[in-house]
Amino acid sequence: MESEDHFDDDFLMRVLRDPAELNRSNRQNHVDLCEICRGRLNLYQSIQSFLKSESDFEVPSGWLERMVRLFDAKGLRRDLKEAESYAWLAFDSLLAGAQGIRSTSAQRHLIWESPEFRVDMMVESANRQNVLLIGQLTAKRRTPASESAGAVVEAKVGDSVFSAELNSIGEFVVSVGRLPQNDPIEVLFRLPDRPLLTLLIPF
Amino acid sequence: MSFMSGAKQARLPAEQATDQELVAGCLSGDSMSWELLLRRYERLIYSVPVRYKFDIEERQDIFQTVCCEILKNLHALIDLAKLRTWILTITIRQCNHLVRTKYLQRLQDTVESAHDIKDPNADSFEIYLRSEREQLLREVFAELPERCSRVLRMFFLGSTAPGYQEVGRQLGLSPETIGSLRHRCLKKMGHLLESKGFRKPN
Repeated sequence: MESEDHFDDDFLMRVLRDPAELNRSNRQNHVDLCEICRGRLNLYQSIQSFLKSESDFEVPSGWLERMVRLFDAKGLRRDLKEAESYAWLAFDSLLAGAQGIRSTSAQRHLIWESPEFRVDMMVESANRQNVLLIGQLTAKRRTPASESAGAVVEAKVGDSVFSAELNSIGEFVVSVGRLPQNDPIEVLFRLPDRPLLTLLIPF
Repeated sequence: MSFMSGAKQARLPAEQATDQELVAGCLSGDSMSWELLLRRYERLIYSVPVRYKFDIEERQDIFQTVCCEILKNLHALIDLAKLRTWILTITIRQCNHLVRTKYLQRLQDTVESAHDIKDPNADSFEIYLRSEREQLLREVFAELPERCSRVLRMFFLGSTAPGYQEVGRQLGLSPETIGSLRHRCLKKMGHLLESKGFRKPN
């Protein structure tokens, strides 16, 4: 597609207000074929949707102020050992594939990170009735406290909890039965003398 | 780093402080940093229980619990570049707990018609992606120059397309410059979104 064929901002703004404009102007075909114009239209639609919905997310008066005062309350950060540590999703093969296409592979690769640990996991779903979580928990810094011996991993799927022990190098395999429809799987690592490490597998 | 370390020191606007600076400020006991951090993420936290269609009391419970969890665990967060996704994960987790609790409660309350009760079926993955995308847009709008923010809002909101004449009049600019101003602002917005790893919806 030649650059001079791309939609200008005025046209895209008209489409935002009236999507039927695409058909009226016989340019639907162009959107289907041109990744650049489709990308811009998607972006503009996101911006418009964001701006329109922003007033729905106005935090009610007084809530924030109460939470600001929390800071001065004593005891909230008292005991690290009792705290939970959350791992954040750093990689998901479902999102890293070809743009616009959700992977249909029977294996999904995910990586989480927490301040102390990295979790590398494959969700093996070739057998839909018996999905396996296969992975490894590794410490970012090698310390005596980071030893995984004796650690237990638990996967909460709906109301069921499936667990397994980690081996000496942090590897684990958990069989979790069927995958949930929409709920995420919550995975908890119970490590000796460490805060509970929690992560979510989104679906 | 404290943003209120001296009475004469001007407060650093929220949009100028990085997450790293705000977290460091919180950990050093600066309550202003905590307030700025909450102001940056309050809508992100609140938007999730709204999307889960919780009522106002449930939203308040979630909001309060998430703020407590952030405060309790902030000291353990090392990769500060992930603050946004960390907060989002905590929020979604709390929402899913509530969904599950309500679901089980309803099952218990009406055992005889249990088969008719369905899981609320909230698509947490979609909510996660959408909330993250909108937080990035929120941050970008906060970083854009005021004039850009205004001109984009005028063009993206409103049921009818504003004419260049009208936009120019409201901004005190010549109508001939509005088209190129909008173009520059959109370009700037695109660069900012790209630098933050914005993922367009499919």
